[in-house]
Amino acid sequence: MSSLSETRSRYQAALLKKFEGAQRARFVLVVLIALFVTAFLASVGIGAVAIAPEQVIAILAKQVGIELPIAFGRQQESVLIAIRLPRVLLGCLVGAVLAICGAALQGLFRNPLADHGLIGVSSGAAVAVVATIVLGVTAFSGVLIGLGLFLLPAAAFLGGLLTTLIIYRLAHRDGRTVVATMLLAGIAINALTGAITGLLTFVATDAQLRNITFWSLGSLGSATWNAVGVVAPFTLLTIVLLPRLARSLNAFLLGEAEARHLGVNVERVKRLVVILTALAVGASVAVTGVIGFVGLVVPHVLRLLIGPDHRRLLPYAALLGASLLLGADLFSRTVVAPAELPLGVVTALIGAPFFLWLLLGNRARSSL
Amino acid sequence: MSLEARQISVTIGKARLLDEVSLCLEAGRLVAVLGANGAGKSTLLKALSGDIAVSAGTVLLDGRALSEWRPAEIARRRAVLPQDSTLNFPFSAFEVALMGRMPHCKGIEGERDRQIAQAALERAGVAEVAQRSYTTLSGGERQRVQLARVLAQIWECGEQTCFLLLDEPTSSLDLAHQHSTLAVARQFAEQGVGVLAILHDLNLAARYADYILILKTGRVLAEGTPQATLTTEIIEAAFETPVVVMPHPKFDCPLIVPIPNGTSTNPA
Repeated sequence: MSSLSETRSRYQAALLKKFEGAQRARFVLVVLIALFVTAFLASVGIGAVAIAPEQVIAILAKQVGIELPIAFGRQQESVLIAIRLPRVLLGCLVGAVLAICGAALQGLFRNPLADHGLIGVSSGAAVAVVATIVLGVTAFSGVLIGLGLFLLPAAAFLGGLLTTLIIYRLAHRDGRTVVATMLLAGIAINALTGAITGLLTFVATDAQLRNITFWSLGSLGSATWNAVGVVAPFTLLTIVLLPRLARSLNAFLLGEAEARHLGVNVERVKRLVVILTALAVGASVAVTGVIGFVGLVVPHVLRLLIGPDHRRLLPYAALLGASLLLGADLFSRTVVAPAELPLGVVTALIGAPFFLWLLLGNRARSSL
Repeated sequence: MSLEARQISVTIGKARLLDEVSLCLEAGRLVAVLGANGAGKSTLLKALSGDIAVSAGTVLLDGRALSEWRPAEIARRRAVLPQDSTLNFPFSAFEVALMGRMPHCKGIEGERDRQIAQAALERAGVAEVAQRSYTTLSGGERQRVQLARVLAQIWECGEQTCFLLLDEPTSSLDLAHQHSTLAVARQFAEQGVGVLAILHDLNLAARYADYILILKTGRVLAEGTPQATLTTEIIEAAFETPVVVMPHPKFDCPLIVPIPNGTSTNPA
């Protein structure tokens, strides 16, 4: 239209600002990558057996057949490959998934306080795990032996998925899912699963209670290559697919009707976000137990730094979530070594005050 | 090419919100929908925008039922300005306007899309706040940024006719911006867009609309040109409040002056 030429100079000013924004985002990306590399090398290097960063590289290179002129011990190699590496990879996947799913759900619900807890993944997993621990041993002892180590993760995964599907179905009417109903149904179902979990905990024996507590506080301690193998397909699927919904989620922030008017297939987006989250978080929680606050804090911090555009927010969140969980895990296993603090406790201990600080800081700024 | 509601009824529960209403929105026309609160204005707009399903009748775009179109296809042809928008994430005004280009590009918006977004902000009179966060804008500025977004969405229609549905576009605006917003709607209509606006101010409708549809309790009470529809009799029936209608002193349209209850409606 005609006014296009008149707006050129204004547009160039806007372009400059935009360029500043893009530069800032690129700077944040570089910092995040540096942070991730540091967290990764520190996590695989620090512990009862110390491994220097160059030794880590040399050991990894050896696995793919490249000999580097850097000396390392046989014990260092086996500790890295058998213990540290699966633990760190599990931490990366779980941290990335918790953060990216938190960001996507906050977009879907248009609420910066949403996380995977809201759609019942963790409470459903908890009820299944507690039920398995308390009832399973007596009722299905034969099955228990058959499934062995995989029983708890399998129960957690199915419990989480089932609860999410129930909440999703409850909010579904006339071919549409009402997001507000999903939120309320989530709260109700969470209260219900909480009550069942409480009841089961009440009748549990002392030994069972210890198991329940350990699981509900979260830990990467059970990391093995098997665990990584189980979690990887679900988490990688979600990490790859969620960013493809970024533009649709941006439109969702305007409102669901607005997103539809911009040509977004809103039912498909809702379904995909909920299913991908349930699969990935379900698989993560199944192996690590409940780890809070990563999904809430990471998207918040990033929005303050780079704005709410999901095209950047989602991949950046995955990166920061992975670094944060690695850092928290490193802290949890070194600060009281040789014992370990529960990881869920560490993330909440760091996360909660930090979140409050963000909140209060924001309030001060916006009241100016 | 048209966006047409043919004999549509909308029933929710036992309430009949719309009762066999027909409306044809054609290229180059600005249609104003008027009526008291609860008359069915927003319901009609929601039926035209596909937000609610009709219980009877059909909504057609170019003669094809709305449900037979792909959402993305419709989005390139029809933009909808909501009554109020609760965006509480800190996108800049420019980024909000740029979202209007979503149906026209895949992945990242191009240079052309950015120029259009900026031009749309300019047209809506909010270019000076382009880089400010939407959450820090005043109610009126937000409404105009949303207007820029829907203008950007139908900025270039080429051979096809585009449609613009505005739900109370002036509700948060001061006097000057009420007129500038409708002047923009008018310009778009003159460039071939079919515009529908729900309005509360009868004088704005009289001044800017080519065609007026007045609803009362879900039915069409009157329709036609401003001169034909904005008469004392029809307005008093629609709004149940006494008015005086006189020729506008400056423009060729009626001027409506409400007479508060309790005073005489007929001074002569």
